[in-house]
Amino acid sequence: MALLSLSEIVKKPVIDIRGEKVGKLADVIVSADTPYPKVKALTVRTSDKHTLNVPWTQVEGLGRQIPLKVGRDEIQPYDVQEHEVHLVEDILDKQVIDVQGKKLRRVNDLQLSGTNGSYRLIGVDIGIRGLLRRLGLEKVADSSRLHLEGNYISWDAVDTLHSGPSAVQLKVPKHKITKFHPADIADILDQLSVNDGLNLINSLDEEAAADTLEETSPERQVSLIEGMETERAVEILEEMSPDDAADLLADLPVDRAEAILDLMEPDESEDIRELLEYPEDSAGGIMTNEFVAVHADFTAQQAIEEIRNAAADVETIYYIYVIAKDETLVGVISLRNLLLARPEEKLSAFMHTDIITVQLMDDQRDVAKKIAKYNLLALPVVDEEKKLKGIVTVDDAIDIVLPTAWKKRVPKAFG
Amino acid sequence: MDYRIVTRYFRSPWFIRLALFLAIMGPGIITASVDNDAGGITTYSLAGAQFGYLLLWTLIPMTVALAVVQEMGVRMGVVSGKGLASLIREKTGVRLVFFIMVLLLAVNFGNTLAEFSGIAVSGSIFGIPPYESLPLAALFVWLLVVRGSYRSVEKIFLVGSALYASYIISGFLAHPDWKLAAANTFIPHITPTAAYITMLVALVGTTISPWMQFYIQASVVEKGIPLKHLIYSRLDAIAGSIVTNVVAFFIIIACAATIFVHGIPVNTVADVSAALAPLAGNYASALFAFGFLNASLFAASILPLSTAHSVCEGIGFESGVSKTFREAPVFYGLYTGTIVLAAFFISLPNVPLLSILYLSQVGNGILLPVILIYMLVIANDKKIMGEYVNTRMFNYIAGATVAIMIGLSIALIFIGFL
Repeated sequence: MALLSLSEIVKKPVIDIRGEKVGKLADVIVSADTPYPKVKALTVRTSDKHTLNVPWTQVEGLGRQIPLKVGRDEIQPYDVQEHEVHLVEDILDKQVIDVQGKKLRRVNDLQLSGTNGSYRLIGVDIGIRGLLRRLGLEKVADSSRLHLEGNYISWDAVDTLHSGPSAVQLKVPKHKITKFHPADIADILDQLSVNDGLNLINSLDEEAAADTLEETSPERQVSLIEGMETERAVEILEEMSPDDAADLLADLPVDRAEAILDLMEPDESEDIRELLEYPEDSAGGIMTNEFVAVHADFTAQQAIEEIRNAAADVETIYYIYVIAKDETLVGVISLRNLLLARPEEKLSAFMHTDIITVQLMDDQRDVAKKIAKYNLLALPVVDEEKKLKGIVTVDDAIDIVLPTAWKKRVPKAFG
Repeated sequence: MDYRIVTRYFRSPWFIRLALFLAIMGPGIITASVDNDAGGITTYSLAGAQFGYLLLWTLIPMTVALAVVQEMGVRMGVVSGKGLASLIREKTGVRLVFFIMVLLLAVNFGNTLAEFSGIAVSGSIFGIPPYESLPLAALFVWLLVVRGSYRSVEKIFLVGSALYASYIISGFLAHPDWKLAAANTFIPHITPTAAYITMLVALVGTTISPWMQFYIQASVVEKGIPLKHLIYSRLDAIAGSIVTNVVAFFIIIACAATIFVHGIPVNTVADVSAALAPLAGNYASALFAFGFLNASLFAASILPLSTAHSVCEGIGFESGVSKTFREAPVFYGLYTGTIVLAAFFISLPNVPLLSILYLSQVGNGILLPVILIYMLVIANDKKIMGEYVNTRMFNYIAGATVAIMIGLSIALIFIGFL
């Protein structure tokens, strides 16, 4: 088995069977279907400045010289297939996603392995050593006392990005990254260019895209939604929780936000429109209106039924809010108390009536403080008439107290 | 962003467009303002003090050149979503990028030295000794970037840009001869003396510098400006170029109306500020010195950051203040190292500052043509820019700009100004 670096063979002379120089190696074309893509052809820049794709079947081997099995005039130009990848043009010096490290990496070199007369792409060199080799300074690496290890990622654990304006976009085989946790995808998304980010988010299904978008920095959310087809944006926003969707829409230009809202399912868009009425940093601005509310004359049994029906659409089921006929908040019950109650018992008999609440226009920091002080998982938001308008969950409160969690991802040009 | 709450109530298309522009504005104005850094202000003041209104005509072609180059930068950033170092690496490979980055590092270190010397000088004008002003400034600059977020930092920088208005005020306080200024702005007066040519070359040389191209592109990428708002980014770049040269105009006329008219010999900004006090009043003098401090601080925070970021982007190291020191050691090393070393060197007695500045100008002169040529190549690459490649007309203007810039850069190296 022979190991080769791409940089060792690029620009090396390609010699035909009669020993005449055909040109220099310009690029290596590999298939894109297998985990370790096979070399299919070599691109040769001929002495008279033409490029020629030589099929691998006509190549003798790779090395400091690249001998062909045929004479120059017998070369049958290789027909490049749609999904095939040009290593120099498409991968070398570009950024790839390191699936294991969950990071973006710059490709310094590529590693090929040869067995039984065929070569495969097996890894990406992202280390200093690869860099020095490219600069022709590998001897420095050898002689220096710093033993610079090569830093390779297996090709199997790499996701490529195909950027550029959409006109020349290549079809991307399913990203491995799509199996990541949304917060990890979001981390990578924040580092990608807008175009690459769009490609990535478009390769996710709506639910994953929505979860990922919720974790992305606000600036990036806006540019991604702006870059998307309206229909796709609508699908994703419908999957997001209304408070996050409202925050995002509030940052979009008005006409675009309206267009999206008009296309959404009426009940989804109504929730969002309601949230959009309140300033971003008020309780109303950060609350969600997907919560469980039941009437005071329900029994415990009925309330549990109600939760079962609503559970899929609400943010938390640990608190059940009890409302009177006129929607005023009269009590709150924890899931634990509900389960412990006798099934036929009326809610009004055992609900807590001294409820901690906040007003719609209260400052979001006061909301977070109350949640922290009373150790709550969620806090109800009411209007002046004590009508229940929404709830703020503890995860949103953490985002207020620890804004750095997403804020810290933002500054890149500045460091 | 807060303005959007407002737009819910003000839905006139004109208002929405204005609001959008205000949101997208920033990279162009900030970059162009930093262009009027310690070196820039020194050059403009000396031009006004030594040649009066004579060199004002250069500002119009310089505005055009700056706008052309900056527009190309924001367009490349918005369309590709990538920084200039990334694009050059992906286009040409690692060798050229490595060469560019080594030069950029050296040149920008020289420029950062100039900014810190500006801080020391303007501090002294206000009675703050350098051994106090330099460490304080270094700490301020370092904390600003390490502790701030993109948005907060950009806001501070925008305020910094607004503070350049102090030059406009001191321009008015100097009671210039407006008719003469206007005549000289629109009608070129070329005197073929060595001193005049040297000053001309220095003026142009200070207008477009290599790091700006990396910085402006990185900031539009960072803002994630979507393609459909490219027009606002272009406006931002053009507005920045105009504002910068308006500030330059007022610096020149302030010195022309006072120091030049009275024939006082000046060599530094401290001389200029001192000379302004009896001629244009203490306010004009203080505003002038304040503007200089602002400009130096401003550039001292942006230059090291832009350098560290570009180098890491081009070579492929982790970069970003959101990373810890352990995650991005090269980035932090370069960033902190540049600031600390620059502040330290300037606080040493007998630093050969003029030689260092001259060398960094030479470096600028070597680097600028390389970068401008690659910008032109990339801006014409359909694979990267799609339908947003340069138009033919734009290529003529940009090509001419680049050719003139290259010619002057070479001239600058040979003349050995400063």
